[in-house]
Amino acid sequence: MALKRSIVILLAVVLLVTPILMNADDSTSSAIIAADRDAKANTSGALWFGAGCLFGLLGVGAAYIIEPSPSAQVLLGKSPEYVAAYTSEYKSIGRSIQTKNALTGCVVGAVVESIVYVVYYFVVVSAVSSAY
Amino acid sequence: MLNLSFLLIAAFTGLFTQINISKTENDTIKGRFYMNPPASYFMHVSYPINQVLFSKSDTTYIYYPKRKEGFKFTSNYTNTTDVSKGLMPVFKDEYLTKLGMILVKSDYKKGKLIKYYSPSDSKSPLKFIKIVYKNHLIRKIEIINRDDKVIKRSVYGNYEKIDKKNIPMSIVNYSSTGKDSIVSEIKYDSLNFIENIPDSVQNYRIPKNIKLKEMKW
Repeated sequence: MALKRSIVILLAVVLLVTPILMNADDSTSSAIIAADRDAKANTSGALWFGAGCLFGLLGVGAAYIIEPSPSAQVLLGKSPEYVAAYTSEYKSIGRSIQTKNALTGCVVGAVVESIVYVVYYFVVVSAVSSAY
Repeated sequence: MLNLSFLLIAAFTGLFTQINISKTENDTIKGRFYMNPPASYFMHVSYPINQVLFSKSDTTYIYYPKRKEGFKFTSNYTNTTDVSKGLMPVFKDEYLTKLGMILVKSDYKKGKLIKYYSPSDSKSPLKFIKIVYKNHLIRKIEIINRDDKVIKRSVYGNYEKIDKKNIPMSIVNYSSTGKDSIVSEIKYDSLNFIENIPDSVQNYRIPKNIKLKEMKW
């Protein structure tokens, strides 16, 4: 009898608590979806590609260190759980896009630089050898 | 994000209702805001959650009085909201020139004056800011990127005369974010100019015993 009562109480508690937990999860998951969407839209891949191209590893380092910032607008009327999850996800996704593009820019920059150097070298060599 | 508030002459306050619609979420936010040039704003959200959001120079605070928790964000700029900054262009349309935008073209079609501004910085991702006026009032502002894509459109409506100034009581913002788009409608009510922000707002302090979560923006 006591066991039956314990099970009933346990079930009642689970039924009462579940919606609260579900709401917290909902808030966090919608924050993550929104942050993911906004970070992808707001982070300029071309800018960081250019930084990687021009400044090489320094550009990649800057892309990793500089954290993108979300707008206060999107946090208006949101719960603390949402604000924490959104901010963290936005920074993480934004930084990942920045670093990936800067790294691509760095590799492309290095390849282009090498090609220019090789072409320049052969032009100089052929010019020198033809002079003699 | 640029701080445009220095262009305003007087402080103002009002009630707002913001409705956000996107594929992932629909929500309604209600509250009161205070805008105090040059660089501070204060918003008290009453629905759906009791939230206070305000800035002090380069720091933005978000505080939940009932839950006694909050955030402190520091950044290199004033991070403001559409509710407060949305009204700025209406006060002085030359603000774009002061921010380094150049008027490159203007057309007059069917009773509408259309002005195109371009950034003086050639590296800017923006191509144009297009402003549409009708009867000397701003009706629409579009931000157009280098791919000729409108990334944000704001439509101004329901103008009312407040202190001899024409103020739009409704602004609808359309933002394109990749595959998704967000529509937010801001409706203002009881908007008025005030000489000074009330002391309770001006000197608002989060209780010292509240430990704020600090983040760098």
